[in-house]
Amino acid sequence: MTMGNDMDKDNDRLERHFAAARTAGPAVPDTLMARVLADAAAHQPAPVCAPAPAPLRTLRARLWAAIGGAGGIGAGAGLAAAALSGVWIGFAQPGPAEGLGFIERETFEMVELIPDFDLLIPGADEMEG
Amino acid sequence: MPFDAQSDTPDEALLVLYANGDPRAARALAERLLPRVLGFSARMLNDAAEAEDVAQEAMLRLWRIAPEWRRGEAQVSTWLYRVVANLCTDRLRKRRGVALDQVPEPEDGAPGALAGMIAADRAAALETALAALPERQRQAVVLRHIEGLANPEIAAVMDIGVEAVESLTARGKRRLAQLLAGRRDELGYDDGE
Repeated sequence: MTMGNDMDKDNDRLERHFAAARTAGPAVPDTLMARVLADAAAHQPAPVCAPAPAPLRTLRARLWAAIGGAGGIGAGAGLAAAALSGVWIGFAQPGPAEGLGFIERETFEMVELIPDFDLLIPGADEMEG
Repeated sequence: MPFDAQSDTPDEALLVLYANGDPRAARALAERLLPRVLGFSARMLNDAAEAEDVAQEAMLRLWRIAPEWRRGEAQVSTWLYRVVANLCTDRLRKRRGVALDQVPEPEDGAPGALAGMIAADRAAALETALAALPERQRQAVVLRHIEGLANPEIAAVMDIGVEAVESLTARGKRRLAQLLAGRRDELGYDDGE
């Protein structure tokens, strides 16, 4: 029998012992588990409460908020009335405004508040002549 | 998500969850790691009560370090085995009061436990033989061949090089083979079993 064979046999025998030991480890007593879990509970940091992320707001939600949400119904009604008025004016095509005829009847005189202003411009006389 | 000892959730992720206050993570970690911690300490100390104390102390240190755990630097199990190894070394020093690696040969005992050749008896015979090894050899052999750690991980646990681990396990196995061979006739089994 060679030395190599002896070593192989020794290893095989040892491996059988190791395999037996791996399956025959000590069972954890319930009392030990309870002590360990009690330690864990005593030393566990408080839960971390991260702030909830702000929800994505839709355009509709932002518009609703812009007019004050449920409390801004009045403002919303005003906005709607203004929009309807614009639509009505566009469809109705009102005629010329009456009552403004005096603008055509009246005569106007042009008054120069600074009559000699041209004198301030060098060479203005020559240009006119 | 349910956590249990068989879950695929890595140890480190469970530790982070524990540090964040998840109460289920502690139980999952304990169910997964405590048997290994207890088994290692029991084989190192050969004293059930002391082994339980060491296991509880090691787990306590894990709970305490959880908030400062640096992710990716070390495996949780490796760190834990190292804590257990150090705690066992401290206890063995106090128990013996002599320098390491000067453990006297144990008496050729426990014949009752070695009466048969069922698995439990093989395990018991191995435990007896392991107790005869110098502490560092015993650590390396237990971590390698019973706990199933790779040599680099054992090197990290024992704070030595991989070559030193290989040397310790080789010497330890040779000694174990001698110790068990001396009892083979007494045990009454042959190579075929």
